[in-house]
Amino acid sequence: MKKWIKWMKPITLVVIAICIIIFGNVRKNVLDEIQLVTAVGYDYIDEQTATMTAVTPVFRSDASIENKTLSITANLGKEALIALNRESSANLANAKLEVALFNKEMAKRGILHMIDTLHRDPNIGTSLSLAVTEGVTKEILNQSFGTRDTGHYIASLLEHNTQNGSIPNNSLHYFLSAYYTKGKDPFLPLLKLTDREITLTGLALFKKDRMVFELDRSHLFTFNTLYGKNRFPGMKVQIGDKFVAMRVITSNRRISIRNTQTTPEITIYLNIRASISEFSGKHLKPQHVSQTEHALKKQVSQQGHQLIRKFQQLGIDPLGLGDHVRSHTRNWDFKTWQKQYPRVKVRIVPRVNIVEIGVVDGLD
Amino acid sequence: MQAHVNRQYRVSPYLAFFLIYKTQFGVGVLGFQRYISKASGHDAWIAVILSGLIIHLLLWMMYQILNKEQNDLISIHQTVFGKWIGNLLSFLFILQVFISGTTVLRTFIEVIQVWVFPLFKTWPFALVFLTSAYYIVSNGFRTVAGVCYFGSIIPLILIPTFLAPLEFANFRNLLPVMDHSITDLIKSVEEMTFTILGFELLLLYYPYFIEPEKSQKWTHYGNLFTTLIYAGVAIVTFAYYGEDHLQVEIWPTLTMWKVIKLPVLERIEYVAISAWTIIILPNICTAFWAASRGVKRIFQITQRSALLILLAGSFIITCLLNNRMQIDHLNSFVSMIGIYLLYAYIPILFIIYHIRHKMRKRS
Repeated sequence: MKKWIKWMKPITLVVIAICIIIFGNVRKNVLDEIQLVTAVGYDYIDEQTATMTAVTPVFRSDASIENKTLSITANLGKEALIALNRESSANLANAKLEVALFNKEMAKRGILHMIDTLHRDPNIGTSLSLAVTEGVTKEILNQSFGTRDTGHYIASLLEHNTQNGSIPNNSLHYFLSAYYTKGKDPFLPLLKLTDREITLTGLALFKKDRMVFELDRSHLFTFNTLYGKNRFPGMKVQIGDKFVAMRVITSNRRISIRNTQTTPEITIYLNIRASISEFSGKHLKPQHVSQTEHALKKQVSQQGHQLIRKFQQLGIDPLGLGDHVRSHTRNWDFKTWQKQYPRVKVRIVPRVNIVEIGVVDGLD
Repeated sequence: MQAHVNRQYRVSPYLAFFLIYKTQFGVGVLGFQRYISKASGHDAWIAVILSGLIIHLLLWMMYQILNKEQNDLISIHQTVFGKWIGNLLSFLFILQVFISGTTVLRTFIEVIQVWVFPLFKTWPFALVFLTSAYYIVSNGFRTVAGVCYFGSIIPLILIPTFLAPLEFANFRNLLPVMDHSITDLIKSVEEMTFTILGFELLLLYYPYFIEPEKSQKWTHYGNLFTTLIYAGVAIVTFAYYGEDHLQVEIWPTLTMWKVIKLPVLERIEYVAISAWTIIILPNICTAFWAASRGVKRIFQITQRSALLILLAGSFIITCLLNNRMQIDHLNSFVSMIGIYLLYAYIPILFIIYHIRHKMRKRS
């Protein structure tokens, strides 16, 4: 009895060592021997099938990057990635996936299936960028953009436009959280390939997982301002026959809700601060400044009411008004809200303040 | 049947802080948010604080018994219920400790299999873990307490990573506060049980403190710290996920880390899962130390042989469970036993013990 006890400790160490040596040997993924997929695109074919395109960067010895695309038409989802491996010379890895694109037909018919695949995979981060494209994604992904890897290029295009405030925050996480939140609907940026360049043309608004409305670029400022605290890079308004351009427009939103129990009345107070950066006339006079303020106010208010009326007609709530009402209402019921929503009175009260006029004095 | 412990085997009272905190903070952190928010939604953080308060009360009750008896649960059972019934109750208690230790191990292996190595077999990992546990536990309680200390200190570097998701947080999710009824909150407190289970092992390691009475304040501090961390994590989670979004995430904490991107590290949850090994090891060690100690005291065999039998049993159970459904069932089973143990058995024991104590004094 005593003897074997003495040997137990060395035995445990040996057992641990053997286990680690034999079973600690998991399949290696050496970076040079795998292909990292950085972008995927889904194109609609019919109800059951889709074309999936994957882009992997190939790093060449002269430090340039060549993009290699693989595409396959298969049943939706994960199966496609497995099938793509048959075309590929090295094992495809999706851990570095940066962007997923859906063409418009796909988006209109629902993208939940693909979103679920991306969400369920522990390898894929939730900071993944998603976007809807006009035209076939395969065409976009086949395109090379300078010397950079396509996936990274599209992701940074979306990221910098989000950071400078052109479009509200968006990524897989934001999509999922809007999708699952009652009283909120998701949206994705809308991209278009024109003359071998990708441009951001607006937003695709979703009802659950189906795209139902296309928000034009000209409405982005209004949408962003209504969506929440924002910092918009710049825009232009017309006063009389002259144009005034403004840069870095910051805005704050405050929502007040009345009558939460019967028919809610929502008032959105907007506080917009901007500075003038360009003026097409000769002298910038004080009345021009107040005219600009007035024009901007009118534009936000008009476009805003238009948009909200449209959203109510479509029964979508990309601004998350329902969620806002929920946070102010005890025992909030989503079903009643859905019935109320088309008839909810929404008032927009913008306040515009031009704070600076640039470095040239012209107010005399 | 005195469980006298030589002074050289005892530990300082302040280590009670780490022993309590470490046994409560384990694999539950990775996924407790979904369970607690099932009943009371975004108000569940209140339930976390409530359960922390309840545990303070239970700790106080335990110390009231332990300080009078100056011994562990097995002796208490024997003096209160007599030898046979007392030993039976102790045996059930040990069975619970053993099963929860096994559950922690299997749940953690599942996390590794889902997140890091999908092809990883269960048994080699369980074998490495359980032999390490043998190595640590066979060196005595002082080593177990030391492992708890390091298992508490080292993972503290992970705490700041819980703040990173705040960038994406929407605190409006938490409003309106107290939108759920008291019964919903009580359900959430019940769901919280499995996560914060572990402090009841104090009933067994109480005689191992130098001046055991002094350890009481440290156990309360330990429990306070755990409660604060859990409440903090719960609030961050509820702000990060909407109520319905949270219900589809099996491991909300890990998915929350998925959003962090560092220049040198694409994703942080792999580091976190690896670091979690250091968090899990002390939990398994304390569970098996307590279980083997109990078996030794009941059946009069050496603690080493008791430990070997228990570890072998745990190894077999761990390997037999092989899918999410079974693991989930096991988790809810342990959680259910935990509920009865904590919220019913400890208060009952407290009352019966004091009645007996008074009766003995009178006679």
